Amino acid sequence: MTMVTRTVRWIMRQHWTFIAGLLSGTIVALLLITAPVMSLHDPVAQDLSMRLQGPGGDHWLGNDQLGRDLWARLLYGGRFSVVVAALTLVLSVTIGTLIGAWCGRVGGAIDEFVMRVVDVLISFPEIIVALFLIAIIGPGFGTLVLALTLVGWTPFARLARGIALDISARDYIVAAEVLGCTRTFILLRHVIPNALRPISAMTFLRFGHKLITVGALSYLGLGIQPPDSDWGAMLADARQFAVRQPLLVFAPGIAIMVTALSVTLMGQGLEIDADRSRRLRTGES
Amino acid sequence: MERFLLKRAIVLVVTLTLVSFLAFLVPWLGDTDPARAIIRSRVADLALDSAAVEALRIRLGLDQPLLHQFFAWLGRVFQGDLGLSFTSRLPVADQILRAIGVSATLALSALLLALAIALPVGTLAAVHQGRRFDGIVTFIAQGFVSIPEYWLAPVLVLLFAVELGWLPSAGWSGFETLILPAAVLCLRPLAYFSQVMRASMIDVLHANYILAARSRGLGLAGALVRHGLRNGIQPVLTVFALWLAGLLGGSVVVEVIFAIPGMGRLIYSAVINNDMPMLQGSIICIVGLAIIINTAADVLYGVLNPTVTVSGDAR
Amino acid sequence: MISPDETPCLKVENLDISIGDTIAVARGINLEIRRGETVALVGESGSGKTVTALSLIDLLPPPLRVTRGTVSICGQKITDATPDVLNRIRGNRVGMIFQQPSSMLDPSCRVGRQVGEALRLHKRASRGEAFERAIELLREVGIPEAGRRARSFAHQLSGGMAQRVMIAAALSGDPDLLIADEPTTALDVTVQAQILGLLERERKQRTLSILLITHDLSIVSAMADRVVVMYAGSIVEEGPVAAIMQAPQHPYTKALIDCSLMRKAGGGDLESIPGTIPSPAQSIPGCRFHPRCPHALARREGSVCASDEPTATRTAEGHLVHCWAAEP
Repeated sequence: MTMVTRTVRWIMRQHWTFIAGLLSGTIVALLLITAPVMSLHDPVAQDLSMRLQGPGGDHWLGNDQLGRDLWARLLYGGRFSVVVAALTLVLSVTIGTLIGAWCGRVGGAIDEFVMRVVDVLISFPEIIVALFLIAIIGPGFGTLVLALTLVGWTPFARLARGIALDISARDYIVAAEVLGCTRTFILLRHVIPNALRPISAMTFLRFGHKLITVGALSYLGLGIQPPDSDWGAMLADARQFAVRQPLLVFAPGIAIMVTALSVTLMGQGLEIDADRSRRLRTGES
Repeated sequence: MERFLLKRAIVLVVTLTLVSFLAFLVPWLGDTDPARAIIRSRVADLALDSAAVEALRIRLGLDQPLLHQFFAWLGRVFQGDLGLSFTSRLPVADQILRAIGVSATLALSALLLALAIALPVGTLAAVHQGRRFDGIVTFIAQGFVSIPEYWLAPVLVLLFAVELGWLPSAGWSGFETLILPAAVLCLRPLAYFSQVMRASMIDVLHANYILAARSRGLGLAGALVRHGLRNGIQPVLTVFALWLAGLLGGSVVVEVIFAIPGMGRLIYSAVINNDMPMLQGSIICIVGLAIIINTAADVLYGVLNPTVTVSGDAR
Repeated sequence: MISPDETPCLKVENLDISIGDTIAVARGINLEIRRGETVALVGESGSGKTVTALSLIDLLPPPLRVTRGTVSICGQKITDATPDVLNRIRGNRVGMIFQQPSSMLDPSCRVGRQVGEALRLHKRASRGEAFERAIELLREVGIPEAGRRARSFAHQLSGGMAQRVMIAAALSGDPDLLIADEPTTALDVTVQAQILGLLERERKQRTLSILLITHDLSIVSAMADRVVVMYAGSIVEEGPVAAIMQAPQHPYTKALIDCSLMRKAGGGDLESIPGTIPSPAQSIPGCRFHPRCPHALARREGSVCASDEPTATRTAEGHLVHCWAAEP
């Protein structure tokens, strides 16, 4: 119970953007998880008599060009992109943080080499890497995750390296080393708590971009493959029916935007928090 | 300076060699038989004559050891010969060169537009730090980052081309066709630039030299224009270079939607058509350009900031 | 020497400076500087000297602000003046130099342009004229190869050199008053003497008034005509330099002088003031100094020192002491 109240208290202390993002993000996540309960229809069941119907009846958002229920497709369609984006981020954070912290600790030629690699990769558009991988091993879930992780780890490596360098140069770490604390202890006690906030902020801030990139590949027909569908693929399908049924274009677009924005807002809230706690610690005004 | 450029030139050559090797391996990684692929791209007949395949294999040197082939290929790459496209049968290098020109025009238009808006907006947000204007700017920036271009582009086409008929819906034939794609493409960099500019101008505002300049009788605006911008813009230029390098191939979606014959669309169609020489050529060119642009940005940075000697380390 | 009815170069009356509305950083500051006079504002760090100096040209960084009182420079009221008026006064009637000269120069702007800036703003000089004049000024403040130095950047200058540049920049608009906020604190001792010599020379040549802000009493006796001692945001004593240095009346001034190495050069233990300077947020009733005061009156139970703020007592001509124990 205390854990819950402490968490709630921590949340209430954050910037309003964090709370707003957390609320809408939670709603989106719950909707996607409970998709089978929340939708009355099968997302792939076609009913040509209902083609391009507007909202009404038990089809809350109407039907698409093949008469499929738009609301159901929206709920199921979000699952793919969100899972790919989230999984990619988890991998990127883990790999990037480990590599970056390691580089910051060992320094020297290894550090120099890895950072040069980061320099080249960091400006490399994710979508291009994804296209190349698709050309080599074909489209699919694994390809997307691999492609986005391949360049996705670089900003985290740079950030973690910076934090590791910054922290090990601090007086209190030097003092801890002089006092005879082991490296592992210093890492656990000082480095990780200090790195946690900025890295989690960056993770949340990157999510929107990943989500949009996954959708872009699906839009181009190289992401999710039929009969499955996601928001990007729905937008591509809906394009030629935009004039007759604008909702088909607006609904998936807004779904992407709301999802991306809420996670970004959480990230910004965390960044403000990280900044604030850094200032508190270092005594800057 | 010379030493710095020399060092970067070495980095360029080494990286390009490595990337070329990866690019060279692409067909093997993807278990595509180059000889088969070439023949298939030239004769529509799917039943391949295995004798013809063997003949071509020997003629192209594909029977040689892999490393041998690689160096032969690398030699041609460094002479600017990237082979012929499987689909168009035209030299890959020519097509890429033309596409890069198009992408560069599009990217620079979008980025300069973003920069022109972001500099004043970011500065104003910094001046009003923590107040309502600042909050609104940050929120809009996050909104811009969250808009997928494959949604915004069709919506804008629907509005300005289909409904209002003011602008062409697609194509690449002059200024009018540039407006919509540049507008779509500029939102995300605009958001980033304005936030970077804001953070950097907040530092500048607290800098002692601004106080000193004001003590000489410059107003806040005057002090910012004369002494703030030049110092505050430097981080933005670094980000600008990153974006420029990224957009030279990364504006795939916008180029596909607006049918713009740039690098993004070239790569996209190469993927669709399994056009291996085109893919190999594009990856080499994109990486090379990214390194060159970043070097140029570092040189420019050194010009703007006299405390940086161009080896990258401050005094 | 100076006629008493002449308009003072700087006149500060009952000035209060606060953080936001609540925390007072300086209170009841009265200050007057006549033409050609050097006044030293002395106190420990944290006593509100720099804040007072910045308030004189209305450049307090928020949330600091003036909450009461007036500042006038050459008869022109600064408090409540419009931004245009202020911009015309800054650099033109009053110049300012600071503690860390190197960080006060724009790192990416040539030194000569910054020195000539006041000329461009106030004297309608063209870009070329301003630069030529800047070179002359740099030569005047003793910078060798002034022509070449004018084209260099801040990071290429030493600290002493940068302070000379700052002096040149502050004097380029030919001001009547120079505010020097700890001008030599960040510099080597040998350079300190040169900079002080330069300031003294300029004062004579230009009949400049100088407000010298420092914590270093050895500078004060060499430079100042009058001394104003600040403690925790209030003025505790002011008077002619000889009177203050020879016969200080306020216990704080006495302690400050006793702490100074100059007095104890002959040997013996260094005196120190017990306790530390209170932060502006701390509220202390009565005299702000009484918790640290060695005087018998302050040590007595239920003393007036702990209940009422001391009023000014005139102990000699031009010598004011804010202390209950002072006798006229």
